[in-house]
Amino acid sequence: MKQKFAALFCASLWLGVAPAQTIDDGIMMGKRLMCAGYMFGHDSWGHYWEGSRHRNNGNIGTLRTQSHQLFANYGLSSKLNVIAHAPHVQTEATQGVLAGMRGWQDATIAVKYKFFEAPVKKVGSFRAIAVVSGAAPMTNYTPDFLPLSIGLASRRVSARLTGHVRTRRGWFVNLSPSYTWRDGVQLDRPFFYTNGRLTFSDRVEMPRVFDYAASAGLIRGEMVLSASYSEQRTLGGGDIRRQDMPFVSNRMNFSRVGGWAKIPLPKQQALSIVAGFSYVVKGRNVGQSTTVTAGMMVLFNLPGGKKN
Amino acid sequence: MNARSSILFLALVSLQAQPRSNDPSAGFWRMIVLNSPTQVPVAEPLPVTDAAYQAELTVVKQAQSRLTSEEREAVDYWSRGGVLRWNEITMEMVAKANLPPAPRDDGTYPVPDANNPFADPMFPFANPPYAARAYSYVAVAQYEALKVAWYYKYLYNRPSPATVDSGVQALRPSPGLPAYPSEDAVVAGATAAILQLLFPTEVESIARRSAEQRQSALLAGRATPSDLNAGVALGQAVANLVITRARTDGMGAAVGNAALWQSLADQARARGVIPWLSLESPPRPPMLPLFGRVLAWSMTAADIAAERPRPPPSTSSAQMAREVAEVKDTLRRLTRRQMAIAYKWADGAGTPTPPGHWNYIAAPHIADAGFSEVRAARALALLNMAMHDAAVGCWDAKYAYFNPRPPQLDPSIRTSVGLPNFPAYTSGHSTFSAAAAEVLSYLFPASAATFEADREEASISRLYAGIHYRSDIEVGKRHGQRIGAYTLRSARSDGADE
Repeated sequence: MKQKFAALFCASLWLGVAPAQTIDDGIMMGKRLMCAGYMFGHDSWGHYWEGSRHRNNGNIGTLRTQSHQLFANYGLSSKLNVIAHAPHVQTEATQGVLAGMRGWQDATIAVKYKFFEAPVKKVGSFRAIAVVSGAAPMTNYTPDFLPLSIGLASRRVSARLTGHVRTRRGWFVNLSPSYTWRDGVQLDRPFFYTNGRLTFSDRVEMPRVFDYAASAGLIRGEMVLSASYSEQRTLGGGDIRRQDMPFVSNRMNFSRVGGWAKIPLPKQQALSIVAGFSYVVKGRNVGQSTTVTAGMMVLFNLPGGKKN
Repeated sequence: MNARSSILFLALVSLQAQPRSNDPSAGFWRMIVLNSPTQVPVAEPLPVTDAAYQAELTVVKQAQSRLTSEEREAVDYWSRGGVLRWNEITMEMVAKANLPPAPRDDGTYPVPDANNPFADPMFPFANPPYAARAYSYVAVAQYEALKVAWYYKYLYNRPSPATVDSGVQALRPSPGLPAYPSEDAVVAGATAAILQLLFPTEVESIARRSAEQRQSALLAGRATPSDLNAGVALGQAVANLVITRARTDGMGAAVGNAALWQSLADQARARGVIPWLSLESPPRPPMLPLFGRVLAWSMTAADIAAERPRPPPSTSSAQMAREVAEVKDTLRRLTRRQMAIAYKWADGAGTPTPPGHWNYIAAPHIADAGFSEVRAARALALLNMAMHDAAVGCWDAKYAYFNPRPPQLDPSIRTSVGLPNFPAYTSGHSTFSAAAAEVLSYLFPASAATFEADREEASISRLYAGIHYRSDIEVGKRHGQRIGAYTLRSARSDGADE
């Protein structure tokens, strides 16, 4: 059973461009179990929101982002997991003359703690999980060339609380809100204009971010199906002005729907294939992204862990 | 204000640099737009013994006795000097207005309309030539108005309120500088009038800041209401003379029209070269093709023509092929440090533009030099007159040759900053920077090496960005130096160095 849970956990890692879903799901790895893998992501948008104005841009065409992500998740105990992931990102615009960018983006480390679990009469079980995560750029990439920058280059810390209910037949719902504090980012220029002010500094204060993800799905044997709705609300920052470029501290908001499926290999249960899809339905100062992801992961015991 | 905070406040204020000299002869320095300071009359003030003046002192003392923390902040803010503060404000207005019009659904671009400034697109589009001109008009209006003010200050010699009445606190003293007309009000009046012409959507915020500057002078014990009233009237009157020049300097025609844009391409083809093409989608008309005919400050139209650089290498020449290859090779090997230089000097949409960047470079030198307000205004006037002339000269060359950008000649070239929508030859950054470095090195010779280093970095940044060839940069720098020399020829004999 423990391994099944772990495999499920593994499957839910990093679908879409959002922060690793592992961090916001309700599943824990067993003690000394390790799940590691690789995930490919392809994100594209042709329309974006300039403030609240929905538009396209002939000087961008379609903005494509490809990511290659390495990840690992380790069970210090069945209540305490440590998660790490590191994406390599590449951007390009299909029209216009702006150069695409590529490089290692931000590394994330998260500690996930299941602090409560109880049976729910006639239903199944409920568990509550707290997650603290931190992320920092792995390379000195610039966040000042949006939308072609590979990230926002901000160090950040998030606090998250997840509630997870599962029935005996395997149906589940999961709700996971979080709050993120972001450190200021460094530009290569001595002044910048945003949100109605010219600031004489190369350091940009980054507003905090609230987000949540709600998901529901079915676990039947080793097969997992899940659908999700998530929202991000940036708690400050200015809008992209008419015909301006995006800026790192913009108020970037979006609502997104998505789904994913996980299928273990028939004769090798420790190996799984995962595929996901997500679509931004509404946004502000972001692209209207369509994202597909696909990956493979392997589950194994570390020395001293419980054998299968 | 309680006693403790007022002592602390006075201590802070007294740390600010005092002018090394009040420049009492500045009223006789050569004028630029005006013929003589007496062109704008300023009535003789009442003697300080007059009851009406004594009543004004009471107004000052009463205002000082109930200073709010907001008013203290305003006094402190303006204590950096009105000329420097308005320079920052102008940079902000330029950055705000520095956005190109969005295309219409039919693929054409609307032109900002000075008579309908709040429409989409707003007026102005404060691109580099517009900004260079704007900075220069603000600085020249201030400089002219302050020279007139200095003339009357030393003609009438009315002492400052705190000198007349020890009950007035000198929160921001200018020892020995006559108070009538108030230099703060002169700057407030002149700047507000010229800025409202240049940035008509900002009328309200300009008026509010202008009023705040004047009120702060009163609260700081620097000026009485009559000092302020004479100052603001003088500032406005001088600005109106400068505005008369601005309205007829050719800016209004600089956008050109469809027939002109077509003829520029046709003429290039007739010369046997590939004409510049907009690489924007939809294609955007070239930026201000007739800006090269706008009136310069220190150069005649004949000077502009005489200093026009020789033609660029032909688009079909071996040298051009080598220069395109150099751009491509530079981008292929680009280091993070070179990218940082390209971003640092990008100065594109939404920024104060390259002339704004050079104002930013100049400001701390002016602040640290302990200049009088009139000498600070001279420094910014010389700097911005040179950069305006650089814009005129550079745009004259750009549209004389209509030379393509690197990504047009080699579509595999991808740029690290937004591609400017006007011809390549010569580099505006290089021309602006060389002209600016000439003027700043004259004003602050001890820092000449840093200005030269900035000029070199700003210029080469355009190669790192993939938007200019080596020739654009090297020829642009030499052109900018020659243009800066025109400004300095008149500066050296304007009376300020005596």
